[in-house]
Amino acid sequence: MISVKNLSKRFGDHWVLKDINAEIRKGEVISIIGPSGTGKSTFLRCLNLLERPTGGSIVIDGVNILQKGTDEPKLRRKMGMVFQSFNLFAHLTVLDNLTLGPMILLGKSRQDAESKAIELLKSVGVSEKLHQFPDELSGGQKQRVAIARCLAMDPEIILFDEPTSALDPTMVSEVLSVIRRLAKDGMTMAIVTHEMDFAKNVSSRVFYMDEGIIYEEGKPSDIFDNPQKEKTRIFIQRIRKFCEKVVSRHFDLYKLQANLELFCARHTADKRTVSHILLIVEEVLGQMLLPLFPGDPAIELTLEYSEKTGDFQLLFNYAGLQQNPFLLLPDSDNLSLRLIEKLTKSSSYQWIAGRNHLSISI
Amino acid sequence: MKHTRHLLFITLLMILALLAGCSKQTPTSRLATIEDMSNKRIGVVSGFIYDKFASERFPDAQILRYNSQTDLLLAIKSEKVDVAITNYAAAKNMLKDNAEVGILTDQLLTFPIGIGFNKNNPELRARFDAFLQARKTDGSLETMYRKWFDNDLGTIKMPKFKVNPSGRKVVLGVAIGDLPSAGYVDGEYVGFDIELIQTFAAQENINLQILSMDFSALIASLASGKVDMIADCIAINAERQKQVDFSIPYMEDKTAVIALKKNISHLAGSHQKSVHSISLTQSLVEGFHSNIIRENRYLLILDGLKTTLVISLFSILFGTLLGGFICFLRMSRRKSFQLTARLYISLMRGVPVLVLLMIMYYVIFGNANVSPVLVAIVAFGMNFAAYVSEMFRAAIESIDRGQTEAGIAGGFNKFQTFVYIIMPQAIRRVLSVYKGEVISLVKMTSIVGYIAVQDLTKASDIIRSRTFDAFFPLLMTAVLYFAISALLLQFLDALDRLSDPRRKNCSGLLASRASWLTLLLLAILSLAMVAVYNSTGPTEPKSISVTTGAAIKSLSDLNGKRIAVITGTTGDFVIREKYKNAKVVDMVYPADAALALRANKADAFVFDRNTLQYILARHQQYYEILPERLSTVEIAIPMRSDAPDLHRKVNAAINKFKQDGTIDRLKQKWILSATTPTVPKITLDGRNGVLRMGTCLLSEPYAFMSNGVMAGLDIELAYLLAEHLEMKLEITDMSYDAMIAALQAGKIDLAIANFYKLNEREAACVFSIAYLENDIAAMVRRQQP
Repeated sequence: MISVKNLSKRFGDHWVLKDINAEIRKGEVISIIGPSGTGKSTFLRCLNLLERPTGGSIVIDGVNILQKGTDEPKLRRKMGMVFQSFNLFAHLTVLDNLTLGPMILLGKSRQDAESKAIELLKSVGVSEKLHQFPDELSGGQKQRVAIARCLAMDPEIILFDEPTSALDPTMVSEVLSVIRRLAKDGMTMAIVTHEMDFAKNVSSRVFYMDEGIIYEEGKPSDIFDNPQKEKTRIFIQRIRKFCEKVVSRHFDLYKLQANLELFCARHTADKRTVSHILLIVEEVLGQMLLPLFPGDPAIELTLEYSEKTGDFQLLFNYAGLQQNPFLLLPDSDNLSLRLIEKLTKSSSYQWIAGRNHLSISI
Repeated sequence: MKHTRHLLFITLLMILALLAGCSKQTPTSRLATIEDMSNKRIGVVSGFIYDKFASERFPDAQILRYNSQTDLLLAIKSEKVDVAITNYAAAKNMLKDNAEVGILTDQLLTFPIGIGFNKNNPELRARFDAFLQARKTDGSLETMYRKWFDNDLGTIKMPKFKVNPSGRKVVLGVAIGDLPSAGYVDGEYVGFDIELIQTFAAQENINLQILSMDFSALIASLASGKVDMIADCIAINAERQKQVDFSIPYMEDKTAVIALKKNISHLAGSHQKSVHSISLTQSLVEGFHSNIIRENRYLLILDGLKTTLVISLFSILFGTLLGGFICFLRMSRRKSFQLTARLYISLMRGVPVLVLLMIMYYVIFGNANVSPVLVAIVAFGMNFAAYVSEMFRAAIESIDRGQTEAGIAGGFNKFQTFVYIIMPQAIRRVLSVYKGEVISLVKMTSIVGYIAVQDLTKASDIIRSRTFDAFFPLLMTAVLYFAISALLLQFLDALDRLSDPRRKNCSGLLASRASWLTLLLLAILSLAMVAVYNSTGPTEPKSISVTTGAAIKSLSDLNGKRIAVITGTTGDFVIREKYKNAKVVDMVYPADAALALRANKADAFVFDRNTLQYILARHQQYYEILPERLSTVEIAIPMRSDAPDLHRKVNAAINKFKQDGTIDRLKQKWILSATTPTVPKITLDGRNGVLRMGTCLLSEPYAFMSNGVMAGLDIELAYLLAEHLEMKLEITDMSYDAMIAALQAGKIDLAIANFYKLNEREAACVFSIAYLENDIAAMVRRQQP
């Protein structure tokens, strides 16, 4: 139905979209996820030309809409859009919000437009508010009216631009269940969202966007349970990171420990975990890794915290000979090793691209 | 409701102020009989026979002399005198408009009234006696007398008399100002005496010329041979008969003693209690009558009101549309459009509207024959557009961008998005500031008088220039502007409510159409106004076909032409009265009028011959002056009414200047020579204090600026007068209207500014005797050979 090739968009000197290639087929529900500022909304707005792409092509039903002579208003009538901030027409009642388009753009009679509008409002559960004005509705009601307004135009696809981001948490579900029902009815939809569970359960495909491209795409189960790329994983598991480089034999251990403590406190680690982490860092650096370097060391230390699982993970990354430090030491008389083993859930060693990767889960 | 309350409050304030002004009162013992007058202050008109009679009959009384009946009445009303003696007919006339004044008695004196003749001219007197005798016999004298003395003066028709240029020239001297005997109305001498003598002149084939002068000067003029006969209710007595030959009496004049009713025993009474409120209502009623009713002046106001409405409504309509367009340019993405709009806005906001108006009229449309009303509409509309376009922009930009996005994303094109989604919301936001701008535009239109449009303000100016009464015309104009503003505000409020989607039983879609409705309603209203404006033009028929092509060779050619006049001058009145078919172009300054004539915006300029000659002397190539005259006026000096000493001295000085040829010399020097002379240095010692004088420095050759100093006939006369009075001179430059107000407020002592002496004006201030006489003549464009 929609085929996007090499789409790019530049604001000033900043390339928001670099090279987007995507395919949206009829009946699909596409969730577009990704960190803020990676161009998700821009991509969506390029689809109905609310933003004019800088390059590439968007082919809808065999026609490249970026060519000159495209009847943009006509195109948009087939593509509904739901905004984060609802954007209901402030001067019109709920009913008139739904009838304005059909009457003026589709030439429907007032009667036809109104009966369809009432039917749609019933289906989204706001039929009691027919003659009220947008500012008299709750956020959830506004967004449901906005969805109904799109439906009144009989669109072939609806673009949702973060439809629940401006809502109170208590109202999110009422909007999501309306969208869920639309999905069940076979409506083609593209949804920019931060509701991961919703994206996982409702969509037929997921686009993970980052670095101005569709970084990874696939079925929800693939993306959410087994992301192939590091950035996807970090995003899905909502991983927070602390990084520090150790580049001197006489580095300030106490300062490093203080910083680690601060990071842990920010992610509400309990006292035991914190003391374990500090102990492990001290032992691994001092007893296991520093002796490996004849001069000054070059070790990248990373502490990761996954908001999804609540686990901390320590990563040590350094160059040098390929050797697992755990295996290097005779296990009987090394106090440090035993201590570490006791405090960790698991540990692993990998040799990737000429560097040692030591990871310890706590 | 809010407006009604405001109006009430303002009215209350004004009434309080008036009450405060009217409540001074000095206790006087009541008058019951003639003998009670013996120790009172008695007012008379100087030169009248009562003057001498009163001083002989009441030696203990204080006699105060006034220049005219009007002054006498004013003195009674302001309680400067207790009683006044005057002739019965005049007294009755006074009573009609002044209910607080009553007649104490009419039993004081009875005089035979006759026409005075030069003792060297018994032949003329004999012929007149014969004429009179015949009229007495056939009863036509009686009929004429009844006509003038028994009817309301406003209703009496003066028959037209032809001037007999070939006949024997006889000069008649009258002291105008006391109808029904003799008066000067609309540029014509009228009254019983005038009609009588003109009938005589017509019958005897006499070329009668009428000269008006002070009553006290009549006898002297006759004796010196300047006039051949004198009339104006002149009582025949022995003393006068020594100097003058009298005709046989043509009527008897009773004498009346008048006083305030509350001071007269048999008239005081129930009147006494409510004397304050009566005098207030009375003064209001009187003001209303003289400013609104007399000479159908309300038609002038109505016409002005219509013009103001037409200009306001069309300017609003045109300005709003243009403002919308400018706003479109300003918000356009194209840099060139933006720049154009910015330039336009800053230009229009940076130039005063008055200047813009003048530029449009004299420069842009200088050579096109475009109605000045249209020019005003365009100018005001252009100014209005600059302001409202920025309001529109601010309102549109204040609408959340999401609204536009929702519209565009919903499949509306840009125009539809604007019309159905943005504009209805923007209009509601812009209305509150727009209302204010509309009101200020309505008030701003009051300056259109500068380009010869007769609007509400100009109409009130015209009336004020006639009556010299600042209070009533200004008050009424203020009230009318307030009413227009209030009505417009109501209309806009209604629109506001209509465009409010929240009002009951309203479909929101209708609300989005209210914006179109706004413009539509305004358009319909404006068109209706035009229809009314064109169909009824009571004082100034607009539908006459003005033939601009034909040359004007004599005064009779003036009919059907566009004639420039200076508002409020005698030329103005004469043209309106005699040339009903002409299109009057009202101007403010002679220089503008001359310019209008030159620019073919008028075909003739009617003004005093002296000024016209002065203009001609400098611009021979453009103009010529028709030899005939339309009327004659006397030029005199209006003075503060509460300084009788000054009046006397000024009159004496003018008499002296007239006799020693000073006035003739001034006229020769300033008016008839083509060079621009200067005022000689005159040192004033100021022994007798300061003489504060008002003048208007835009009236060449009388008063103007030349090489950075004041010059002109009036200025030199002022210096000579100050020298004569041994006073220091302090000259203030002000507009004509302001001078009269300043006189009344006592801010200046006198005004020397080519003021015409008119009856009606004498109600508001005291005039000196005339220092110049002047023809009203017509100047036209020079015909190319």
